Parts: sequence; structure tokens; C-alpha cells
Amino acid sequence: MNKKNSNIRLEDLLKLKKAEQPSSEFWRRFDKQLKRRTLQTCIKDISWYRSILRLINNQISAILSINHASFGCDLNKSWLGKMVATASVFLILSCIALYLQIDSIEDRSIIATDSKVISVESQSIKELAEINKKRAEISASSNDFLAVVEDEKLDKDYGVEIISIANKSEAIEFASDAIPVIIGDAVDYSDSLVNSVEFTKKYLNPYPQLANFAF
Amino acid sequence: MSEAIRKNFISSSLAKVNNLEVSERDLDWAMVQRVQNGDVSVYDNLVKKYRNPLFSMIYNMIGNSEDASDITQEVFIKAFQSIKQFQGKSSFFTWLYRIGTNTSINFIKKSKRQRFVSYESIDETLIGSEIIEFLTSKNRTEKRILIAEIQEKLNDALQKLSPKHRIVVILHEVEGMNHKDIAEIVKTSEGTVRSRLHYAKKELQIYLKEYIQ
Repeated sequence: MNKKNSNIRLEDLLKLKKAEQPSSEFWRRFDKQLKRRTLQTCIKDISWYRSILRLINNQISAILSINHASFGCDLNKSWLGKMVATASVFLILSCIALYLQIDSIEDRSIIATDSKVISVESQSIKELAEINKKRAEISASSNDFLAVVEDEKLDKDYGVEIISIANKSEAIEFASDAIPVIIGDAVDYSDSLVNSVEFTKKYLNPYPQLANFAF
Repeated sequence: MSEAIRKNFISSSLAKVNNLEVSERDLDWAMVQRVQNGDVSVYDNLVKKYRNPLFSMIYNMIGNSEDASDITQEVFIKAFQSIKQFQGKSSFFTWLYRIGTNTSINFIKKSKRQRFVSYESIDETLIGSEIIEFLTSKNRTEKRILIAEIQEKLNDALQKLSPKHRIVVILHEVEGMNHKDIAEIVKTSEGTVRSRLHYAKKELQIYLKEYIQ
């Protein structure tokens, strides 16, 4: 067979590649497979949401089954069951909220320590006295300080915070979460933590000091 | 026809062609925006519009229809997943081909063995007149054998080219794209595209010298 033809160029031969066409059956199969694979991809994308939901669901089911054993009735069907389920969900959410709150308190105490503000929350009077000693040492070289001292006249259920200001007071605009206790040369007390981050940054210095009540 | 009328005719024809290109691109962009806004069923239209040329390109790169089918589907899925990132700076077609090119080249690099399996069905309306003339001079049996033989030789020759040379030949000679579009797809300059094309064709001519002048 004479294969060589003087009129045929490389470009003509390459057109043979373009002429290769799949059948309509091929495209039918192709469309079907593509649709299936696209759906599978979508399911994979949302699978992590499902994992979390499944975990929560399992936890609730476990609580319900414990309650079922305790109460001896089918809680899934009764109104009591619904109440227990709601309470369980509330409990889980509360735990999450508490966990987050603990985190934020820890963060706040770190900031307070860095700013040389001593936390007085849930401290006994004796501890506060110790703190005051340390505070006095810190304040020896500075006029701007927060003093915490022991006061026998006050109820011992409360930690006592006495704030003294040596220098003149200034009128300042207080943050909404802070209640001014004293301004100027006066004393007052509070057992609550000066816990506002905004306060720590804004009012540590200059002179006016404040605390907020949380009775 | 006077010179002025001729010039006017040419310029209006060019404007029509340009408008057609712009409207095609705009049409795709409008469909893409609808998909981006949540009307995902419109994506089917884009798939139906581009599945054939995209598959053809990938098939000629990879060498067999099964792998090419898988990769074409993968390209459409990738494009669907990334469609929110498509901002319409290039045409959807170019963007899709770029994904297709990269996916094909990655596949070629990963796969150890390449085998070309050609289709038995040939659309003779797409073959050049010289080839038709040559083939019609043969009887039915000879014609079938010859086509199969040429296909095999062509496939072997294409496989001998490096992926970056192969893609340029396929996009230009088989898919009929211009140098500018190819440069955009393979992210290189037009000069590099021309140079690669020249080298690749020279190589192919050596491999296929028994069939061509």
C-alpha cells in the first residue's frame, strides 16, 4: 500500500484527531456520572456539619436514655421527656457558655496582672491584707495606686476595697459598665472586681479610681 | 465595488465578529453570575456547552477516553466548586480550559503508563479534503485499516511530545485556537506559544514522515 501522499500535510493529519467523536451513549453516561459525582462532592463538603450535629444528637440521646432508666418511662414520647430534652440542651449550652466565660475571666485576669491591678474578687480579708502589703510596696514609688486594706467594721462575707486618691480629682466620663464609687479625697468600699478591660486600660492612671458594685 | 465601500464592508463585518465574541463571553458571564447567586441548575447549560471541546482537548492530551472522561468530569466539578472565585476577568471558556490543561498535565505526570485508545467512529465531515481524497482512492477495507494505522501513528507521535508541547499542538491544530487564547490558557507569552508550536510540529513531521510530504 502506498502510504505517502504528496498532498497531505501534518495539519491535515491532525484533523483526524478532531474527527474522533464519542457516541451519544457516551455523553449520556458522562452526564449521569457527572451529576452523581457533583452530588457526592456536595455531600462531602457538608459532612463536618453533620458530624457535629450527630455528636450533639448522641449526647442528648445518651442523657435521654439515662433519664429513661431513672424515671422508668418512655421519655421520648411523654411531655416530661420533651422537658428533659429541652433541659438537657439548655444544660449543654450553659456548659459551653460557662466554658467561654471562664476563658474570658482568665484572659481578663492576665490583663489585670500585667497592668498591676490586683483582683479582689472572691478574696478573703486576710488575703486582701496580704495583697495590700504588696500593693504598698508597689505604690511606694508612685502616687497613683489602688489601695486595698482590711476593715474590721465591715461584714466579713465581703472583700473590702478601699480606694484612696492622694491627688486632685478630675471629672471623667465613665464607661457604662463601671459605677463610680469615689472621686477625690474620700473612701468607700466594694467587694467587686474592677474587671472592666476598658476600665483597666483607660482609668488605671491618672488619679480618679473607681470600682463597680456587684452585690 | 469601490475602495470606500469595500473598506466599510470589511469594518462592519469585523465589528459584527467582535460583537459576536463579546456577546458569547457576556452570555457565559451572565450564566456564571446566576450560578454564583445560587441558581445552580444553570451550570448544566455551561457543562453542555463546553463538555465536547473540553473532553476533546483532554482526550487528545491523555490518550484514552475513560481517563479523559474522568478528568473532564473532575474539571467541571473543580470549576463548580471554585465558581465563586471567578470574577469574569477572563472568559469562562479560557478559565475552564486552564483548569483542564493543568489537571491533564498533572494526570500525565502522575500516571506511569500511557496508552492511546482511539475511537472507531470518525466524523468524516471534520477531516481535511486532502485526506478524504486520499482515503476515497482506497477501497472500504483498505480505508478502515489505513485510518486505524494513521490514528495509531498520530497518537504515538503525540505521546512522544512533552506535555507542554503537546498541549500547544492540540489547542492550535486540533481545537483551532489562536495564539493569544493559548497563551492565556497556558499562562505564557504568545512568542513562547509560537516557539513551542514550531518545535512540536517539527518533531511530529519527523515521526510522521512516511505519511506526509
